[in-house]
Amino acid sequence: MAEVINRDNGLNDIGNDYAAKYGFHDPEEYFHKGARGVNHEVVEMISRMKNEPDWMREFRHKALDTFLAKPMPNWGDTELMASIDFDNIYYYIKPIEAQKKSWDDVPDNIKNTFDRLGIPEAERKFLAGVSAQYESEVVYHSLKEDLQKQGIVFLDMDSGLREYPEIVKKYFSTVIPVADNKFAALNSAVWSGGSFIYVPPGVDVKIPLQAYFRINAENMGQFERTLIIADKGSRVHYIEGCTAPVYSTDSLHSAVVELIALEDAYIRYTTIQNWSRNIFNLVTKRAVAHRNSTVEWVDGNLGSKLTMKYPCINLVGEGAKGEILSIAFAGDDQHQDAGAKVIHSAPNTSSRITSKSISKGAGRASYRGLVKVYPTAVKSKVSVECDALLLDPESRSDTYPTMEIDSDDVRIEHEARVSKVAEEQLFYLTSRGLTEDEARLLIINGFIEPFTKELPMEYAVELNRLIELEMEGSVG
Amino acid sequence: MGKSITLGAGAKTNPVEFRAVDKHEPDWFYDLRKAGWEFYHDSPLPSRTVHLWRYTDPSMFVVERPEDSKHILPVIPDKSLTGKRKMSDRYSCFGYNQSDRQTVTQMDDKSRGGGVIFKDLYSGLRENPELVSGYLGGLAGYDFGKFEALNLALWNSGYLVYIPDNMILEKPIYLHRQPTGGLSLFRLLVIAGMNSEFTLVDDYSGQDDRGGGLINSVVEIFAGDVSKVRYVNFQRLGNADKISMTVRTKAGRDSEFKAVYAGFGGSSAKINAGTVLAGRGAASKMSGVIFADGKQRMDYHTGHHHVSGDTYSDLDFKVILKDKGKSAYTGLIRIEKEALNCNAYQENRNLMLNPGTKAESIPELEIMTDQVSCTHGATMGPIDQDMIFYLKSRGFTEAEAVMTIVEGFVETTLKNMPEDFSREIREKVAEKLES
Repeated sequence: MAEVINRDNGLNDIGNDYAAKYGFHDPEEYFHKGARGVNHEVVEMISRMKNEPDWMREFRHKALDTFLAKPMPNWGDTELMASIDFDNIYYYIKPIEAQKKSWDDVPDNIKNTFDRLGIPEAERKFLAGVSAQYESEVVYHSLKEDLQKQGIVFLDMDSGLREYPEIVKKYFSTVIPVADNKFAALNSAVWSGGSFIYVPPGVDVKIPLQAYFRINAENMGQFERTLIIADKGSRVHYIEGCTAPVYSTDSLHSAVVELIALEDAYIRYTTIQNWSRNIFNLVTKRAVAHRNSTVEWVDGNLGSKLTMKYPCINLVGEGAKGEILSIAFAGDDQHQDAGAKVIHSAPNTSSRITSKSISKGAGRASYRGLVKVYPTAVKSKVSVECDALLLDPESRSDTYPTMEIDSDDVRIEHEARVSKVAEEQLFYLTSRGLTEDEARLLIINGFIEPFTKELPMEYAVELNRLIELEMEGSVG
Repeated sequence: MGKSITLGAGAKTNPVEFRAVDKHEPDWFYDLRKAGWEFYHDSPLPSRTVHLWRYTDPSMFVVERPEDSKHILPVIPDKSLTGKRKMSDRYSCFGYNQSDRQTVTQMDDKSRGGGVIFKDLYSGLRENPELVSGYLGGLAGYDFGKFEALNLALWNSGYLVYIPDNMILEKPIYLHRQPTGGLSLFRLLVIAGMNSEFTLVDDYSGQDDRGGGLINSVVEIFAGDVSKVRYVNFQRLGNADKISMTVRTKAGRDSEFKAVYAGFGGSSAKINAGTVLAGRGAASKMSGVIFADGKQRMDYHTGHHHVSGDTYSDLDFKVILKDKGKSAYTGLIRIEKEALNCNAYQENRNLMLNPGTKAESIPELEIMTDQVSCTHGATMGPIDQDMIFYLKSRGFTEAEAVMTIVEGFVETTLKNMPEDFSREIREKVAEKLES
């Protein structure tokens, strides 16, 4: 019984070599770097430099007023949030004057950044379009011709606003109102970049659309704004993945993502978030699902200092379906406050939430969820499952699910489990000849399997490799 | 009879002159009440953004100028009644209290001979000061919360139950409180000695046709090492009563604490029930049967706080909703870093019998260590139509089928209760189903 358990089973150091692996950064060379802090002048400047229509400029100013008036959230990790110094952040940086049309025109230092992350190879050969965000502007953009022929719009948000003003005006900020929360208001005031996707009726985008995001300047806030509209009967899968170099002072990342799935449409939005450990990642993501449509959020949170992200689906049309699948990995001194929200307001809607979290070292993983069923949502079904794995006596796991059910004719199920890596599983695997490290890796991989199997192959490989590399690194 | 307190106006801005409620009031008790009094006035209303108060408006429990209320005079037992009434042989101890008018405490010979102390809390304060001062306010003290502070400052009717070490009571202790309108401030202090074993039924009843009252009750239970305590909280107040009640238990080493919450009454009930697993090997089993109909709002919170290692907690909370009944259930399991090898379970089931009902469920976990096994689950939904169909095909009417299914739904919880009371609860469920 008094057997000494070696706590350094390759898990303690996961992520500790992050700086060595990904912590490179380029000397800062920027065309324009505004002053720190945010005020109406900065907002005016952003809007003028982008040559935006008046309605957007007014929208930004109103949003700034909302941001300034709104108090900080008084729930979640209030202590960490209070340490954000809004006056010490650059709200807009334009890295190069104009967008490059082809990959060859992209500056070498930016290319190097992507090369070192191993991104472009797979993208060029295999994927349809890439919208790679370097700082606040989209610097590289390509879309295969056959997609263009189908009428699919895949642009950065700024170009989207210029080229499709009527679509943008119709849908922009309809899913997430400015006053939704303080960070959404901030984003609305200073947003820059992000993706704009419109899929025409009946079009099936066969290959996933991808965008890579990367922050590269110290104290640089990135406020991308993504809007995806899947018109009637269309299908689209959008993927974003993020890594960022390590810096000494804190950076803020606060995106707003709006998805609109019209009748019979299908949207899947996959994220792998691997920000460096000094970044605040406070993101508002919400989708509206109309009749018989399906929205799926697949959300992986590995990096950042504090992540607060609760992808939401409003099921407003009869028969709409929503699925949220997320994993969170909280390493030393990380707080992953992730979760999911589903709001049922139409009959026969169904949703499923699956959340997996791993806490390691002094890491803290929280699940914060909301399921709301309005009286109109008769015959709806909800299933919520939260599993947490704790790797250390120092680790912490919280579950804060909220279920508000105003209809009697529904089926709601919620389950949560918290445990450590089971000794008997380790014993079994080691008795079959695996080392304890290998056994633990196998168990962790098995634990997140429901998530990885939903990823496109190259992402699943990347994720598995990441976990494996981190564990290898800790041995040597 | 003690003299009434006269307190200055403008309580919030001008610290109130605070006087002894009772001329026999000892200094330590005066200080404790004063601290509660000040906390009640100085603390803001509970924030509605935290889950605990999200579904009930705390302002309904605020008492304006409680110092002026005639209901805060201490209730001292009416000895003449105690002698006259013959005690039922169903109980080991019997307590009856009708709001602020009269209170009765009776004990059987075994309890008296065995050294059980059972009396109204004011008498306990005077006659057993060393016992009461060591425990009163120890779990729900002056800074526990605004309404708990009000209770500590001005409670006027309470019981002291002390069961000596190794004492086993086969028959339950039965406390019956009957508020009759206005403001009622109840308090109960239970001290269970080492290796003691007993059941305590804490029954709050009221009548529907009277005007509603405001009930504020605080219960503190100290379950000694290796004790086996069963606590039944039976809430069947009148349909216009409002109640805010806090129950806190500290479970000692290897103790077994079982609590049952049966909630049927009141227009609005805000109940906060918690057990601190303080001693190594302590086990707590909490179950609930709540039935809200008409326009009732039931807001129950349960907490299991694992402070020591090798502790076990199990929570099973059943809610039945009818008409426009609303339930908000919030539960928290918190496992501290030092509390290794704990097992904790939490389950909340909601049965919604018709449209118009509302059920909220927030079962929360806060786990600070990895040496745990912890699960929770929640379900909400109507009665499965397949079950109804099956029973009807066996000759049941629709109403009988519903009745059978609801009975089955609550049965697992009721089997943990003394027979007398489980029967009463079954009847209460049936009565509500039929109404």
